[in-house]
Amino acid sequence: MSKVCRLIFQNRVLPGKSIIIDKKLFLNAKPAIRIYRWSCPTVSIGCGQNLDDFRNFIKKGYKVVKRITGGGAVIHRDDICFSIVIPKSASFFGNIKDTIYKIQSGIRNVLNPYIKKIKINLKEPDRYTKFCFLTKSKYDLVSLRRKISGVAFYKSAKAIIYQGSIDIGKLNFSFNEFSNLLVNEWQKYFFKN
Amino acid sequence: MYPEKLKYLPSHLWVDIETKNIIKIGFTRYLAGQLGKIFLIETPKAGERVSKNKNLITVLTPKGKVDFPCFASGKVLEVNSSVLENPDILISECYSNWILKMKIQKLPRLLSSKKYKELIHV
Repeated sequence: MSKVCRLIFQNRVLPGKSIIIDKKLFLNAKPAIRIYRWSCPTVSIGCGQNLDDFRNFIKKGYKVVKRITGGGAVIHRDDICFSIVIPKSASFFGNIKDTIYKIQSGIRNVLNPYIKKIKINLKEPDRYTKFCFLTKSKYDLVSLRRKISGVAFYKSAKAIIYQGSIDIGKLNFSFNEFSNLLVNEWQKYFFKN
Repeated sequence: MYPEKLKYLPSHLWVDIETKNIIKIGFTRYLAGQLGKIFLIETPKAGERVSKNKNLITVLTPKGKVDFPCFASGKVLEVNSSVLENPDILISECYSNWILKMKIQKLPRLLSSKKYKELIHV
């Protein structure tokens, strides 16, 4: 991928706005990494999921939004989320599995000193649930029985966007510190020519 | 892995040329491996006209969504209903299950098995 990549860090962003930003970045089809947190408790559901199945979250005060990527619903509270846009021109554009593995490797490298036995799950899941963090899919980042990070994607003819959520638990990272560490790791994979 | 009798598109579809402008298309082994599992596949209906670069096939997997643009304008002659009912057969038996039979105006530039393998670094 090009050495020029747009970086966006947003500590707190409104759910509706977040969805629009990702859609614009995806349609723009230029390299971008966006790291953000949600401004309020939010459930983001996959593009193939039905909003009606999550109405009970609205009653509980959550905002419910639909992502452009697939995958299961994610309950966002203090997690850190990211979006990575890769244009068609990147040599690894079509290699979805390998790219997800590299994204998760970067996160693992950042969290490795702080979370015990953190590793990339290489097994296919026994079952799929409607919630992302209840399904341990292949290439999810896990620690013991806990899921740390999951990634979903949407690929068109011009670009692919990966969206993910990282449950950092009670780790005492500042948002900017964590975002910079993450970008430093990812640049090994995505910023090179 | 990549039968020589078939031709290939860079979007990882195989093309079986029946006559000059009648073709069948399906997913390559490489693509099947990338998708892993398919929840849902959406295609135009038989008889529908399709335009180049417009969306032709959409696939929903557990982790994502993939749009396949149309590589040539034409008309869908037939849709393989068995892959719509059980899309996972596109993963397990990708070369024996075609998705669409189409009549196209002009064949796009197609890759040979050898060239396609070079593209995916096999």
